Amino acid sequence: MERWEKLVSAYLNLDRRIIYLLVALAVLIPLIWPLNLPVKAREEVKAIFDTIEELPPGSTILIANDYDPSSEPELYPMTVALLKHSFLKKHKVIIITLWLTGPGLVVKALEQVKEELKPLGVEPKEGVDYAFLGFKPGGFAVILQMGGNIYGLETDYAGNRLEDLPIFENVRSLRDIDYQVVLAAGNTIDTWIIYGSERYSYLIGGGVTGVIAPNIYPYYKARQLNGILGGLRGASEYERLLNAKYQVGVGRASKGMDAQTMVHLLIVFGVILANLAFFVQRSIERGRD
Amino acid sequence: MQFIRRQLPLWVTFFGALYIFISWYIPSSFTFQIGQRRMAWLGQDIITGWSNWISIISGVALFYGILTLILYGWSKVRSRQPGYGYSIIMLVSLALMTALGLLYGTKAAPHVTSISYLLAPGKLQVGQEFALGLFGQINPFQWMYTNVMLPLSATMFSLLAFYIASAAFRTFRAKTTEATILLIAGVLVMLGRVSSGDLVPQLSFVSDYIMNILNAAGQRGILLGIVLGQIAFSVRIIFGVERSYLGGGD
Amino acid sequence: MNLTAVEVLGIWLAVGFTLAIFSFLYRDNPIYRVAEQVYVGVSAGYGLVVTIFDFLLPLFWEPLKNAFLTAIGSPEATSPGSFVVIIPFILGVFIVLRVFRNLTWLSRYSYAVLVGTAAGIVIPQVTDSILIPQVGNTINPLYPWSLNPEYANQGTFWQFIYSPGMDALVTLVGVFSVLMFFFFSVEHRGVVGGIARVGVYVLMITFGASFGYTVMARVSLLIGRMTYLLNPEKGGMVGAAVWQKPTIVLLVLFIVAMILFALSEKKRRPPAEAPAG
Repeated sequence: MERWEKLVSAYLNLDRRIIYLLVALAVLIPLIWPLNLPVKAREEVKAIFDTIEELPPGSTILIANDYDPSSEPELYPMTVALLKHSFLKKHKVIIITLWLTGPGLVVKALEQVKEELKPLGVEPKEGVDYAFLGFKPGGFAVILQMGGNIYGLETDYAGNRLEDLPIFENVRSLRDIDYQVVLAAGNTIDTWIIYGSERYSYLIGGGVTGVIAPNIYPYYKARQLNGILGGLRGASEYERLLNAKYQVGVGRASKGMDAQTMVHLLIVFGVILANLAFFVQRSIERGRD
Repeated sequence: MQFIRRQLPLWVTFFGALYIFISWYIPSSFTFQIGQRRMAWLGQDIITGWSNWISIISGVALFYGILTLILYGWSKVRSRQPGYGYSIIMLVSLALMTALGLLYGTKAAPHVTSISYLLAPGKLQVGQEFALGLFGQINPFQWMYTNVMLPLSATMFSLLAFYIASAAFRTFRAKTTEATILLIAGVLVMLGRVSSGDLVPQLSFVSDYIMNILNAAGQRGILLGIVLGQIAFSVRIIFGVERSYLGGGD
Repeated sequence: MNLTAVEVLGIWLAVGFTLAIFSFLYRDNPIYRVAEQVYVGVSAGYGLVVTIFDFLLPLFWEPLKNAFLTAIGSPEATSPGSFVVIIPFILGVFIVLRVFRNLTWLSRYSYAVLVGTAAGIVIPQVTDSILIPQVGNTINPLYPWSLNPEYANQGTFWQFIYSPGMDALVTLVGVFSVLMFFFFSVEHRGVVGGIARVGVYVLMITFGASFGYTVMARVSLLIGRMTYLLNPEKGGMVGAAVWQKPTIVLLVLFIVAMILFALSEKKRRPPAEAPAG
């Protein structure tokens, strides 16, 4: 009994650094020796993929890149996958960010996607096939401005006037957008729904970090969002769908899913064991009283 | 003076909000002519013009945050507070990043920026030729973003993975009915949303059900609560009952 | 892939800063604090530059310049421009002037326009975009309870659970009970108390789901950084030369630095004396 008690209390008072080490190992080992566990695509993710897939070539897709480096591992793979998919389908892509420290990630993603698509013979041109509007301040006000008159945003990231860019010839307002995907690490997804898609009635989907993914299910259920990419898992499902269709290879998100599984198992196992230990300890203490 | 400082802003709010509110219900715009230009005075174009104003105000307000950061760091350095060396590092990296941005612009490849263009139109600026040689087609500003800012920021937040694991281990206990429900739901979602859910389909179904039906219902309850609160708060703002957003002081 | 010297330097910097932040897991140390301050400085500098190029020049300077050029009839004007932008600009400056205590009151006009007038659009727009569709989607017909064919290959139980009527019923009960829990004008007793109790359980499931997703999000961030450390971007640094292995070299250096730091601290601070009394 004595020995059990000691073991239980030692487990419950485990040094935090040992937990850190276990977590680090659960991440590192599957990254070095991949297990290639299955990842099946969910309805939420398929909906976004199918929408981009089924739109006629030349449709205008708006990607809101509302996140910054602090959620880069989760959302950056989505930006890359969505850009690749849109360019492969010959859609026109407009990108904007409402986050001050976000534009650099778009610049990086565009460079990466263009480099990776070059061998496939897809070379999107700036101003014709895509435009990056950069950061615009004001949150909901930017959306209202785009809805009223997109030229009111004046210039794109490179400083060209929007009127001069061929891509904006037939896009004067959010009403001319065929589909939007919001990649959000905060509540800008609500803002886009309230002031964008609902007000100017166009189709919208959301790619969000895990932290806010549960919050947007009511929108999905009410069909105010047509699909959800939730966290790294969502990004991975999208990458796999894209690879199955176009053989472009999977990105970082899919490579991380084994590690994700391992850490979840570790935490679940640790929590269940800690609860058992806790009840054992409590029953021992009660027995003593 | 008291009127200008205290009462007038409330009247601006009241009439401004009313103006926007009425414009919202008018599908097109009422306009008038000044010289060559047609100007709107009520309707959708007012909302568009007003949103441009909001953009500009919030844009200028961004300088406030940066200014307070600089003043805070500077005051620490000037009074030689303990650890002021770190503030020097902060100020130097801020200055370096700003200088690089103003010189090379924000695009992927270095280009003649509007700022340097104002100084000498059409010419590469001091240091730009040097950097073109050193950095090739890489813009030092974007280079700093990718190699300094991105790893720092992303890693800073990834530390939370360790803390949340340790916190879950220490504090997640099934002590009450509520805590037990929370724990079970949490565990099922964690197992159902990774490959374990794909290997054991039942786990995936349960987590789908929790997310799509139960979580959606709970979140909708919260959402409706927030939205009703937002509407009530707006009414209080319009009628001057709620004044906290104006800030304190005289 | 061939990398330029600058790119290699960049990868070393990135790996170094990543490890510097991770060193905090062991304990607080000067390397971490330097990295932290660089982060604050660089982010603020980045924000400042983006604000200038993406906002100040296009949205304020260009319209003003063009309005001036148009007014004097210069052919250089690229658009009609607008003098009106001065008003919101001044309102913005009022907010910046908050750094001076005695000018704080000026910013009330800015907030009156920024927050106050926004209240005018929140009421109709939020009602239209959220309240009506969300309430509408909650009140669905509670029939039919027939099996949902979409879940045909998942067994009868799941087909029944996902039947439209069942779904509508659970959603209605869930949303209503949660709202009842938030409704404090009535005492939570009797029937109301019972419904509020159900609301608490629904909320607990919701929070459980949020917790699970939050864990997922945090772990994903860690995976992202670890992936980078194992294989820094741009072609993967696989090669024999030392300069192609930033992670391992820097990791060793960091461990040495941490040990030196711990030793120097021990030397500087002799073992604490037993507290008096």
